[in-house]
Amino acid sequence: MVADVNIFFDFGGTDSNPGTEQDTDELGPPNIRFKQEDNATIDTNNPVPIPTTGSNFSYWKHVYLQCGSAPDTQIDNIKFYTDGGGFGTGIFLNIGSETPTKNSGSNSGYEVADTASTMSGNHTEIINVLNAFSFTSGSTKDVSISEASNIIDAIGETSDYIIFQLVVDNSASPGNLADETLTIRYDEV
Amino acid sequence: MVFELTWKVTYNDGLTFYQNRENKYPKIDRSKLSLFQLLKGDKVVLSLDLDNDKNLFYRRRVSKSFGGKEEVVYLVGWHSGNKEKEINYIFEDGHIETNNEWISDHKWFYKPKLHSCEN
Repeated sequence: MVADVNIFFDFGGTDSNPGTEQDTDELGPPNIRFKQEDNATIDTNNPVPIPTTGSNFSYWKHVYLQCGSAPDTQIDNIKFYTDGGGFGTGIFLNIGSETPTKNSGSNSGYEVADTASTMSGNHTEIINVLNAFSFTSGSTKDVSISEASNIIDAIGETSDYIIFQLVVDNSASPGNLADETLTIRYDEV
Repeated sequence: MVFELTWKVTYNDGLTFYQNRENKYPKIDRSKLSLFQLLKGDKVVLSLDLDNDKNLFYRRRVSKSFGGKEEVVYLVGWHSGNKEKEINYIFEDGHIETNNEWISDHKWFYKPKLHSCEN
């Protein structure tokens, strides 16, 4: 039998102790919404306002891959990418360059989102941010695994965190954004 | 519907066995491996002759989007000590593409992380 693998994000709780592990397949569509609140609700509340100057930020989100049923041998070589589109003028989806630790024994890379500030420098584990839409199917971002032997081979094992944040500057236009497609790819044997 | 193929091996002494929870990929005795086949049900989709110094590699490559849409490609092939290789990609619609080099900027045709048994 092949593995059952799903995309999750953590929210709530405290640093290193997320309150909820949310399966994105149980939501929406859309399956994740960036807002100025730390929850999983797909609604129109807590939007990111357009600033008169500078940038406003959503709360960041900790996303990861979780194994629901084990592969025959292992999962590895995890990669993230987008459709290369984007949300339009003045709206950016940032992704942390670093992939903080998340595994079946530790959530040490989790820092609860309690402020609408840039994750660069405010999330302890994130130093650099990149444009998520710069990663496409032919130019992907590697996602690390900190489980034993750096593979996923058991139920409940995960990838490390991929951390996202929406950024809005004063050139953006108001309104709800069209959905975009984010994808995670992996090898299984 | 999940796209799933299974493998079957034949050794050079005629012994055969199928992929299952006990017969795992790393346990294949490559010193005796003669034939590696991918099956859809009981129908052979691809058959790979592995005599001589051809080192088998095999992956189920999965692309999973937020919202659950999933695409799967199987890649199976061999590489040898003199750097020759053959890579076959089996797509969900049944078509197969073959190449003899990895393409690092392709959605599907990039090199996997080879396991110790595959080197």
